Amino acid sequence: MDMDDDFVRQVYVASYRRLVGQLYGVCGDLGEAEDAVQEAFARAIQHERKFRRTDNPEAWLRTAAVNVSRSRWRRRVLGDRLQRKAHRTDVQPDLSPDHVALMAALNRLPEAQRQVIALHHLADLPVHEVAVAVGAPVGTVKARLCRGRTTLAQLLNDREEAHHA
Amino acid sequence: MRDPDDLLDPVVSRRASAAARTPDFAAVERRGQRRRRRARVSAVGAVVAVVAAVSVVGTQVASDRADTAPAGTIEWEGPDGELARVVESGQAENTGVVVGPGGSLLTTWSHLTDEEMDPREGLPDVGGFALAIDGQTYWSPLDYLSVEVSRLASDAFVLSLVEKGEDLALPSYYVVDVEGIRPLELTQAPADLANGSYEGFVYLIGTREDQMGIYALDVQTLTASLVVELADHYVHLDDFTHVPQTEEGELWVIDLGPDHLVHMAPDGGLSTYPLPPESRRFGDIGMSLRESSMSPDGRPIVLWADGGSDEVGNLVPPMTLMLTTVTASGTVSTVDIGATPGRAPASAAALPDGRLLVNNGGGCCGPQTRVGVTSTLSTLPKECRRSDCEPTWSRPSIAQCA
Repeated sequence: MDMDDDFVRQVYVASYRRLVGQLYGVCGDLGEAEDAVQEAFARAIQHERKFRRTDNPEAWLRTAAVNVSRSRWRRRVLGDRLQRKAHRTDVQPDLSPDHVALMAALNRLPEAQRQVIALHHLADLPVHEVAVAVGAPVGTVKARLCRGRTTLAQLLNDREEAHHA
Repeated sequence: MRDPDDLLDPVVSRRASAAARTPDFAAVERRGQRRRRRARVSAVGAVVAVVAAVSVVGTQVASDRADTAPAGTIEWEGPDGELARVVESGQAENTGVVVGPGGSLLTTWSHLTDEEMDPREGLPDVGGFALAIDGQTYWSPLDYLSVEVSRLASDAFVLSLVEKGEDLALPSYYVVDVEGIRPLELTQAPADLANGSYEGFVYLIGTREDQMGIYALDVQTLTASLVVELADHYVHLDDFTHVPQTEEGELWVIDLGPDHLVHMAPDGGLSTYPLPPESRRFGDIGMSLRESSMSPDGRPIVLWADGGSDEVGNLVPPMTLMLTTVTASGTVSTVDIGATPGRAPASAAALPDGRLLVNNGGGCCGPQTRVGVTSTLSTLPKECRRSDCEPTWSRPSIAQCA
């Protein structure tokens, strides 16, 4: 084992679970979040020289994981294969019914809005770190947050009305 | 109207973190190393090939076909282009070399910077590609977050490109040859294999799930048509993995459901052959497979590894490398080509002529240098090229490392 892989391993131990939690809202599925983060670490190993030079390895990984999760169709294909190989069960976090409803509404948002809402409100990242993760200017992130929250409120409201009807 | 603030709570992420399953780092490490190997050992003499690509910088050209090019064509850049400059100045890392059957060379590059990732750039990598053909080098813009390449049986390449930019973009497909970087359209009509004229096959995942599959490409019309004959097969291919194929329209693929080899004749007729049970020791052959190719006489060459497993059931070195083919009489034949001597897992790359360049994981210059691996050129023996010949496997020669 060389030092580079050891460095990635240390970051893996320290950050893997946190990154999966942050990506969960972006992906809307725990298995897909896990896969996106694992793929981000694989890219870190692939580009180890660059990875070692980053001031904030966790931010680098988060950006890479968001990039991985961007193409939903690709993610599904990969997820299907991994699921097939690993024979894993469909574990999901223990959420309240309200939070399950939130995740369902979040999954219906346009992807760009869902990413910033998930990273800012669920992963608790400041706006400038969200901007790094999604590759957009801070102003764009703020605009997406505003639009996303408005849409999310409508989706939650629609769901509540349908539930009471 | 309900206020999302009531629900947007970091507890969601914390509970997801708590529920996350943490796989052994070794599994992730292998995944990363596989990516690295695939990028760096993607064709024979990768280093030599890159030198060759760069050495013809003096005859670089820029596209002058803009007037007649189809809409969406991306113009080549010349020696003053951004990618050419960063490659020449050593600020780019070669991330892949793919050799076409006619000797053309498609190299992919990632821009290296010493600066911290720029939030405005957003993503850690930006890159491009260059096509070296007939003594000339064509450079793409340095404008892509992702470049994936598949070669066709003819001397053309198909690329999946994700452009850098603020908007979230899906990949676009292009045919790349000396004519330019021209957009590829996925058509709804299935490929007419019996009557159509296609330059090769490529595995695409499209922009919708139902578009995923093997496509026949018509470079003249820049269209890709789904090969419906294979639509019911669970093809083991990562997106843009090379499909072993001939110019005559034959191909071989591995179907994971259940594991067997599928041969498609030029008219679309299919034949299936079971893979050895040992190749499925770790669930399916996807876990054991190292590379697949096609010999010049149209037979499959499947390199896979057998061996022990770690505590979570993954194949680990030392491994025994196995080659499987189908004889002219339709018999599946497997031969042991030797054990891997080192701790590093084996890998292989398919050459344009169908041979496999095998890295058996036994680095003779030490693991730190990552050079000088012992390589083996594996192919079907010459005496078995006749169609009525049963294979008499001979141990491949060992090419000593540098």
